[in-house]
Amino acid sequence: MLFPTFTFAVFFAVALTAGWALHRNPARWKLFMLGASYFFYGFWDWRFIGLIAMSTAVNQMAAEVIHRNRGERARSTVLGAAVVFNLVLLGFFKYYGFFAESIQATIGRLGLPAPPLLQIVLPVAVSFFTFQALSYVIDVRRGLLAPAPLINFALYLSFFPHLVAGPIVRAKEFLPQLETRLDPRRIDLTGAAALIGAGLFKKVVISSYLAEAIVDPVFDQPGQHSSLELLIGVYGYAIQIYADFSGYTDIAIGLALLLGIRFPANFDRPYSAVSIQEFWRRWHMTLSNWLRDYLYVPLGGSRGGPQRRDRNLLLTMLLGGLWHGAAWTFVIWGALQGVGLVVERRLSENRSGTRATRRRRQIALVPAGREDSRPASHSDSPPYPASPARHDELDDPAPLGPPRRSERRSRWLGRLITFHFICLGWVFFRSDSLSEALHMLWRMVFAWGSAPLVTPLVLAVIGICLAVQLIPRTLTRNVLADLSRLPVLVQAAGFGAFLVLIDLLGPTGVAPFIYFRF
Amino acid sequence: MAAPVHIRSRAARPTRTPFKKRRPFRSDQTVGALVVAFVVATLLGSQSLVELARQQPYGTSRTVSLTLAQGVDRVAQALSLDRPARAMKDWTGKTPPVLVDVEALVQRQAVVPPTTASTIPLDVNPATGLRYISVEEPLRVLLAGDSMMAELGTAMQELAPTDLTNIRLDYRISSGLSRPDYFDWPSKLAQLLDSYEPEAVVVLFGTNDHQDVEVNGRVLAVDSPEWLTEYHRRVGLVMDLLHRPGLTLTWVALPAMRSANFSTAMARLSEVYRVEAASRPWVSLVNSGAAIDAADGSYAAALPAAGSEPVVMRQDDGVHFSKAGAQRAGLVVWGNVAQRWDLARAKAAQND
Repeated sequence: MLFPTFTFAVFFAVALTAGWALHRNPARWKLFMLGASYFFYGFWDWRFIGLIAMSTAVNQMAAEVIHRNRGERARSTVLGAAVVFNLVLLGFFKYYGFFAESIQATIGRLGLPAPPLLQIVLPVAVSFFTFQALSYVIDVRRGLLAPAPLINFALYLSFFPHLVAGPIVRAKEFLPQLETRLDPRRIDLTGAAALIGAGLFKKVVISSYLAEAIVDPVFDQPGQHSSLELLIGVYGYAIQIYADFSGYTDIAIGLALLLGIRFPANFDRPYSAVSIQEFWRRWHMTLSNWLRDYLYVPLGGSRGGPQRRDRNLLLTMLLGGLWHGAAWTFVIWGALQGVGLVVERRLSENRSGTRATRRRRQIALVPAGREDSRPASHSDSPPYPASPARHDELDDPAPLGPPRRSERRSRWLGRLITFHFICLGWVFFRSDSLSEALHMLWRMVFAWGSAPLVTPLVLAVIGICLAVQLIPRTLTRNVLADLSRLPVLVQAAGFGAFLVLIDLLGPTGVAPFIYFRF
Repeated sequence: MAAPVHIRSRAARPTRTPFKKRRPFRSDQTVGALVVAFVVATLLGSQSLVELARQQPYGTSRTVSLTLAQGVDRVAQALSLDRPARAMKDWTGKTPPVLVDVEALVQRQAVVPPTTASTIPLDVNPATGLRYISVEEPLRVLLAGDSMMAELGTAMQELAPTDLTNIRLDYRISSGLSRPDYFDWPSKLAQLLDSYEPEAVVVLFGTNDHQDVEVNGRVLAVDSPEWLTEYHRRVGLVMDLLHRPGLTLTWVALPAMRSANFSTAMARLSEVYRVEAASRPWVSLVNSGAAIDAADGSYAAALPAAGSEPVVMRQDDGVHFSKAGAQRAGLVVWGNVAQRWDLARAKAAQND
């Protein structure tokens, strides 16, 4: 059941109406939402319900045992067993084929027995709910969370707005909301409608258009397209994947808001980032946070010196790449991000070291109280966002007055370099194989010729989507606040008309969201 | 006393730009607003709603949905609420295509074979009656079909020599010959014959065809004798439509499928293609399964490749070709086209 379909609209209308009708009785509300979520998941394949139910039961049992047990060793053993269970579950469905093929290719020639190549259907959402289950059990082990009642945990794992493709909501963000009674008087209807409308527009109109007009043709047959087409195709993919994935999470956050539940934000205008580090604070923020808390920090984080930190960063990004899919292209993509972050940090440290020396010399000449009030370099901050903000808590940084011309220039340069570095990563991310990615990069430089796919409309869509990333959040929030003061009927009619406009501008039939396969 | 040295610093403004707060709503207002939005969307987009209902499989659910959607559409028309959407559809080119009376066209073709539009004098191969292909006038190839053709067509585009061929890949997801109300392939092919003037046509249908069909308002149950007769007729009609001087038709028969039931159903359809092609010498039936099925004709998820390591032939759904599978099947299908049009000769001439 895809979000942009009539079937889902009917399903959600029922869920919303019944949900608010039952809100006075939390037990019934939870039971109903759990049933609705399982129905939503089973709509793909009823066997998936067994999978999520099993994951729920095993992880809840582990959390209970960890919580009740006093012995540190026993608690760690149970946690280890739970982690292994989750990784085996994920690994079997997601990575079996990848490893079996790789092993076949390596030892097949030697005549040694290799695992058979099985075709295992990847259940949608398995990566997302496994990560959420892991966060729950680990947080219980860390003492940050007490085990929730089974129904709460089951609903947390399966809640339909975030089930299929995130955002990866953490137990400590979701479960407390189930403990308090939903407030039926304070629903952010305008914000939710704006998120759903924007998400649908991004998915149905922008993502579909770019996929059909340039991205699919150039990535399917790079050998038949010119350098310019390939370059614009990669820019187009950068926008397509952003529109597709952020569109999904916008819709998910909006739907949850209407049901009275708040999710963390997952994207914050990522292509406005002036560094790779900043990009990762703006892109798939809930995954970045998850990787920071459950991988980067346990690996040692930035403790143990720059070399250990760089190693941990590389490893985290490598595994983050592998999370996206079982293919060498994703491994290379992750490695590229890791190397990019490490190089950027080293450069930034060198720069700040030089600046600090210069600054020390200057300060020696300045009377007390006259030092520069600008914040220090970012190099001391962690590579991931400090903590996930809710979608409506994201804000523009406090303005520090008009930036200098040289600063403005360096920010634009940073933005340009970051965008192109990210685009380089997308070539590997989108290509079917490493050889195709390299072939595409080679042709991007050496295959000059006509570019019939690069139309003014394609360029305009890409350009506008990039420009929109620079709109300050304050402006959007103020416009929405003004809209929320319109009569509710006008807002509703406007939203209905906007849905029709999306249907008319979009293609016939909607392709599944890109992130469904992760 | 030394003069003070100033570092140029910007005046810091400690406060953020204030933002306005959004007005919250009650749950009853929220539900009511969404009902209103739903009503407005269904009325303004009533035409899409009717199309959506029409595309469902035949049965009670479709009948009910269609009746409801048509009722909404009538209300919308009475209130002229459908006009903006219709105007928008005209503007974006999303109006339903004008259908061609394919049966009448086929009958006309049988009486007066049309001439090719090409004005360049052609060098014709006396053995096949087909013109020789050259760089000056490459072979116009049309690859058409359902989603199975997406991978196969892409693989064939990669196999075809770019300077000797001009290929158009036209596939439509979820389409076939059973549901012309969703997508009318005979009509589309008739239009493409006029607009693109293909010389080699390759078609692949079937994976969406194992469902009830409607004939003159009567629904024929899938696999019933009447259904089979009708499917034979539809396949034959497409084959006859693509019978023109200087045009070759390659019909791709389906490989085995992972699901035993689905595989049996697809084998039944492939048998229809075989029977219809047998009586039409201009049709060349190529079995894609020969390239990607197991030796005994059963479904194979993976097959040994040249280096002896098995390579996955099919996607995870057990239906569509994987990239490697499409390349293998493409070799067989493209081999048929290349042989019929003697592309080896054209390549040799090009090298000379």
